[in-house]
Amino acid sequence: MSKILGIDLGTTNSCMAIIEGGQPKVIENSEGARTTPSVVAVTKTGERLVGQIAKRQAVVNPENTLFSIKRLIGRRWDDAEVQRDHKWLPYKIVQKGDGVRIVMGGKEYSPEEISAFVLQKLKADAEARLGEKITEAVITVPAYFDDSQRQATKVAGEIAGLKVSRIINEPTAAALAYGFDRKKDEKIVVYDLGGGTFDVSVLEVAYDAATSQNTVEVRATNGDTHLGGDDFDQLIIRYLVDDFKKTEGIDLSKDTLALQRIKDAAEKAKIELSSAIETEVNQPFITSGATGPKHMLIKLSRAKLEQLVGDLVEKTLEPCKKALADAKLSTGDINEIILVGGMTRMPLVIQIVEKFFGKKANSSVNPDEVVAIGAAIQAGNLQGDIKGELLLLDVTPLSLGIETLGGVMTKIIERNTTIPTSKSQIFSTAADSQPSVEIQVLQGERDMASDNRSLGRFTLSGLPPAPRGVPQIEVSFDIDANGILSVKATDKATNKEQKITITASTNLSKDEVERMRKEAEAHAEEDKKRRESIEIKNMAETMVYTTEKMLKDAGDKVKVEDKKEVEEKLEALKKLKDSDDVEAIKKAADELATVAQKVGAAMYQQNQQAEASQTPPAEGEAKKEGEEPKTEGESK
Amino acid sequence: MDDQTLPTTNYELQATEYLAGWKRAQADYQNLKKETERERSEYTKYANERLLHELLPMIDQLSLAMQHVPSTENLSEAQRKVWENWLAGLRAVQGSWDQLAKNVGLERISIEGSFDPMLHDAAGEESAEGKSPVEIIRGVQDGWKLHGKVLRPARVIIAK
Repeated sequence: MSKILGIDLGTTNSCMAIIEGGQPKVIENSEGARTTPSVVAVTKTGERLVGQIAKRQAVVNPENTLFSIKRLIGRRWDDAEVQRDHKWLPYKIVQKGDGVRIVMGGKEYSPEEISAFVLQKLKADAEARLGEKITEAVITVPAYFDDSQRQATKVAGEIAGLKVSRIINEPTAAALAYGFDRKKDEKIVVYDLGGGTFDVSVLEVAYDAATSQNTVEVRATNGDTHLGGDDFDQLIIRYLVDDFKKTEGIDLSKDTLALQRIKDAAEKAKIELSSAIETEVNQPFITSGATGPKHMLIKLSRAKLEQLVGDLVEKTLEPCKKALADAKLSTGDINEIILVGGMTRMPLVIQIVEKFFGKKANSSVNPDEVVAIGAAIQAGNLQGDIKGELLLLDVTPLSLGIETLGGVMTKIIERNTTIPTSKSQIFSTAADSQPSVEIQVLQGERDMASDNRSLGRFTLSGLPPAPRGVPQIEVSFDIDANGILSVKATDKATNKEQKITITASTNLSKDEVERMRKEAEAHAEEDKKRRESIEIKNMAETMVYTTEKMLKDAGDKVKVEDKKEVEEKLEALKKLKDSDDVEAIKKAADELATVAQKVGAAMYQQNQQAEASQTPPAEGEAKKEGEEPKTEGESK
Repeated sequence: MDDQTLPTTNYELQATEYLAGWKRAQADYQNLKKETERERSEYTKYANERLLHELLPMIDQLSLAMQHVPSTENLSEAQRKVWENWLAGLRAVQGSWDQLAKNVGLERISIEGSFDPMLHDAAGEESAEGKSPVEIIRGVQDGWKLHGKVLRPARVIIAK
């Protein structure tokens, strides 16, 4: 069964998403972009272009480059909107019956056919990305679209080879993306300020007894079909052109090439000022004057930008008031606000919306993609990919691990890991001939074991005698879908194992989890230092052990003076390794490593010289063992 | 599948549903792995894409500056030498960029021949003798490919 594609067919840009692994994912188009301009063109050579490449020749082919077709789809010729747009659209639209036709490349097309070209491209690009055929889609439309417009959008999908499983409202899709459809009786406002249009919708989540499910109803909708990001850009362009005229006395408004650079710079500055307080519009050699080349170097502050566009933002509040009035609600009745559309990234927009509604707005889901994501979720619901509570996967709220040498916590499963899951790691012993290992199971984010929550402990005994670091004990953590944790320790040599089952690993309340996380953050620096100190001490301990072993194994192969040097450094490290002076321990360990390496190198050299003067060993003669002990906490 | 093997009881229906869901989840995971691997190799190849894209306006502006070198006609010999020496330095800076571009896989987009929306962005059109329609007359801003992928199209003027 192939996947159903979720499509936001926008006035200016379109976006598509799909459910993968139970999560919505935006699909990039063939150019690698996450949104596709809703633009179709026919070139002078008769080639049809869709998307960004169609936009690239718009300037030289305006009559055959079609955009904002969504303004015409499903409308009658005598609709006020059609008559208004007829006056400013650079391409030709004609009447056919009581409908609308658009002329492109000398041929007439219905708005559905043009939208179908965009949908066809999205379909083809999705198929190429996913490696499978796409035959069905959920497409979003504005909440104010009437039956005719919805039907026409469905027809556009069908022309593109897509069975349209559902047409859903854009604000509803946005609510789905945030999961607000699960909150019964909630009142949600969706504030959508896009490239060319502004829509505000008031939604209510109601429980439908007939289907035993929540439904999202549109209580009211309002907006401005000719207010969007492009208008904001135009104000900035006008300011830059006027400022340049004042300082240089040159009017750039008729210079097409200069205007294109200024337009790009204006949009860039607008975006930059969403995070910076000031930016500079830097366009050297923008034009030539009587005295030579002229440069546009204009500083633009966020305050100035807000002064320029403030009225536009204020203009969006009137439709908000009307929508609330139509829904018979006040701002205090609204539970959630969702921001949609690129322009809602502007701090002034967020500020004014939050001030008007008296609460924080939601914008954590990419405002350019949130509608497509909601469409994908609806598609997933229809397909059964997401089935209410059944396939909701949990995560471990806090990290899980065990206590290791020095009293540190070694994490095995990181927090926020989706369950069910399994992870294992190999550990070893801390002392020679250690007969058993104690496994203490911990939960938390702190570096020291004692600062975390102990979930349980058990012992694996009967380990055969072996030097420290040699045994391989595999510790496995397994959490099933119900959150039950099983911890098992297995000695790889004997296959002896011991285990414990803990039912309470996901029982903590949200507050407790939050408290533990905050505590870990607050102590992060000091915990890090403590952990480092212990790791250095462990390392020093290991180094003392391995160096003593090396000297013992080497016997009289080591020169007396070299041995004395090593023993001196060894003594120095032994004195320091239990102190708290991390820097001194590091220094002593480095010094020991340097002299020990010299000895090691000398031994190798001796060995090679001895081999060179010897006859090759007879077949079957065993080689001398020179195994290295394993490091503590070595991963699988 | 004949009637006898179709699931009929609730448990059988549930089991069939769960198996289907499990298979879907496994498949999604496998696909995710493949996609992650593909994305990882793309990141490696195109890791610098964004940074280079940000740098391009600076390179454009240097290029523009070099196109507007003032005339040295009215300068003395000594002044001309000073000026030309400074220019030689700037040309060397441009040369360094060209070398760097080559090393990181950047390639200038050709503006020979006809307009191609896959590679070019039409900034305007002009009448030009000897040029057929949609043939490129001149470039206004360099375009670049990174490892064969268009990083920024070349902005051009085409013949009417």
